[in-house]
Amino acid sequence: MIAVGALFLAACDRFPSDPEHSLDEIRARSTIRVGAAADVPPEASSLLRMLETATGAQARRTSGPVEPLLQAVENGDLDLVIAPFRADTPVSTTNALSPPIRTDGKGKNAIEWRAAMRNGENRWISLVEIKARQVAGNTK
Amino acid sequence: MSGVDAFSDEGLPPRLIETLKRAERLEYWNIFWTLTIIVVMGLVLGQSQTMKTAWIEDTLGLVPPIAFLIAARMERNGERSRKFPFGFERVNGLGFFLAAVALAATGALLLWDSAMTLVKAEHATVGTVRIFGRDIWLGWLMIGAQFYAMIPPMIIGRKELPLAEDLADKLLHTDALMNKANWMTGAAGIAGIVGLGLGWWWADSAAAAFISFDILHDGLKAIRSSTAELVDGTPRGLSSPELSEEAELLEARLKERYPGTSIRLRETGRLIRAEVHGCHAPDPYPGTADHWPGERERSWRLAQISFVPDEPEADRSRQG
Repeated sequence: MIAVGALFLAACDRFPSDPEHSLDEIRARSTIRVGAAADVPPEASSLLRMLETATGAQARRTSGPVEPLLQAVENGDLDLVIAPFRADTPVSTTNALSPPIRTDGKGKNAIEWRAAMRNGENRWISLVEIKARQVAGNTK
Repeated sequence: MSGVDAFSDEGLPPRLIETLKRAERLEYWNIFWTLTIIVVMGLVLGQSQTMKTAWIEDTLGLVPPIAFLIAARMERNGERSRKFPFGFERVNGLGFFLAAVALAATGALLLWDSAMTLVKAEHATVGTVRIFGRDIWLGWLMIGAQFYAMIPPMIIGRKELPLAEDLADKLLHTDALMNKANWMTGAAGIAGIVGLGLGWWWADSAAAAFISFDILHDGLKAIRSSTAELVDGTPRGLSSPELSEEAELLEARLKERYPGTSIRLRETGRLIRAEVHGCHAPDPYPGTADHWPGERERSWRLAQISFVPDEPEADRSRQG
């Protein structure tokens, strides 16, 4: 218990950390490697601007089909993919998905625009989630 | 069995009925608090393997109290009938066996699951949630839930132990030990989430593997004890598969009283039944309780002594 308590206190300000240091590397290289479909809604640009401000890095966009982009995120070759997903997308098990920044349509057929990150990079994921909520809140 | 003189005690002494009722009330509280833990943990599960494993362990924690309550009710209220002439005193043992198998099977599955997550190096995502207008890392809530999940079992486990010993109840005793040891699960769970927070992706699965190993270990120990009872083995200790001290003393006492005989002891629920092979019952019979080697107030444990005299050689050859 004492050991857990000591670990806990020592760790407070580092919580949560990225196992593969995603956020640290974004800051170190001053670039956010973003994958996105060719046409993205304005909310995506708002999210990228917020992330640029929060990290001090510039977003560098790569366009292409969603599946290869998601694979690149999983491999650590991209930091973020902004794409449209169905609410029941199986991608949520292979990539971490942010809350929706925009929803088109209603019910089962609704399409949600979300940011997908590499699983387990919890500090980076947390930052994107917080900014995604702010974007969604600003557009309501 | 020929030539049997049986002296049986038909039930528990009133003092123990009261203890049994107290244990039942405690188990209702146990179920209530376990349900609150299941809800709290369920709300903050996320993708964490540790949390999933701890949540399943907490859910499994419902099995022993429910099995105990069903067994106690049947034992107290179950009427002896032509179909069940010995009543339902062994329902407790059956419940103990079922709880043990459930524990061991789940422990093995969870251990496999955690080991595979470790081997595949899967990174668990624990993001943020928005509560009262603030974004909070879900890991903090998981740690809070794990702390909460440690408190009720610790208190209930301590309260259950003396009752289990009074009642010689293995099911209740297993439940008490599981509850008492839950702080270890909680601490392992917290360590797993803290490790995950520090960026150690393996900490979550390693903690989950540790918890599942503990579940499996509890289950296997309980299976050894419960099967011993179901196959009429000599009574085992409350917390170990070794022979119980009371059984060893009773066997020694019976051997001393009836030298040259063979003694067989078995357990039906919380009661011990003895067979003395190779002699007739003494006349006058001093009473079953008189054979009990320990404290007088524990003599209810010895429910029956049967005497099985050797069959004459002629009878044996006729049967053969």
